[in-house]
Amino acid sequence: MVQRSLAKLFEEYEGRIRLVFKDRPLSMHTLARPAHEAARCAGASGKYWPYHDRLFAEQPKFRRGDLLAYASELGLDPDAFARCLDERRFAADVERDIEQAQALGINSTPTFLINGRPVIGATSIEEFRVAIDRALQERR
Amino acid sequence: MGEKDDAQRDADDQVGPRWVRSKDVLNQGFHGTSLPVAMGTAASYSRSVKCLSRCAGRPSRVYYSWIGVTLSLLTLIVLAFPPHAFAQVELTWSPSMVKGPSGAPVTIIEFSDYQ
Repeated sequence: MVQRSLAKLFEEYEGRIRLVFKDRPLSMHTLARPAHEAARCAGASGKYWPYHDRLFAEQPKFRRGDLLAYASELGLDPDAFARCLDERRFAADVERDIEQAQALGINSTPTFLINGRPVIGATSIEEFRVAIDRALQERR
Repeated sequence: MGEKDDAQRDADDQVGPRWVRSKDVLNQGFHGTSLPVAMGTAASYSRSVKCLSRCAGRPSRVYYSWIGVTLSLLTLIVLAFPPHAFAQVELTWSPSMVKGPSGAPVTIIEFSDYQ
């Protein structure tokens, strides 16, 4: 729902929005961390956003086999992807994102910072528009 | 007899030392008028404070003063360290996890969980 809103807003405000994704897997979600690491593995091959979209579309099917299948369907090298996942090559990067989130007091997801201003929770597209328009006005 | 003692003690409390009054002013700054209004009036002291006062042999005003001081300190701590101090942390991100032009006037940083 929120992802659809963001995609729509990205089209509406084309060229005026930059979206940054930060990993904040919650500890109670045991399958989340491998999914976040897998997305970064896909990112290393230039497919971060397609894999990101796929994960949100398929949640919570994040077993190892699922993660490998999504990579394969996106045309990623299955062996290289499996190695990246099994070696946990991006575990430290995910951990760094978590530490930054915790340092900011972000303990629930999703949480957005729109030009530094926090927007917490599954916000409606109208609320996003208000926050973005305000941020644009402040930049003028 | 106990009631009379309370009334006498509370009346005496109204002639308190100067420093208590200055703390009242401090409390008024942070908490509006709730605490100072309650202080210094015999009928305004709660039964539990009166009981505590009677048992410990100290005037009720002493307890209210300490409550006021504690609340003031807590207020100062909350003001100094807000729960969402968003501006204090330097954020880093991988270029592959960014979408949109780097010069865009609005940056949305999303902290999210796939699950």
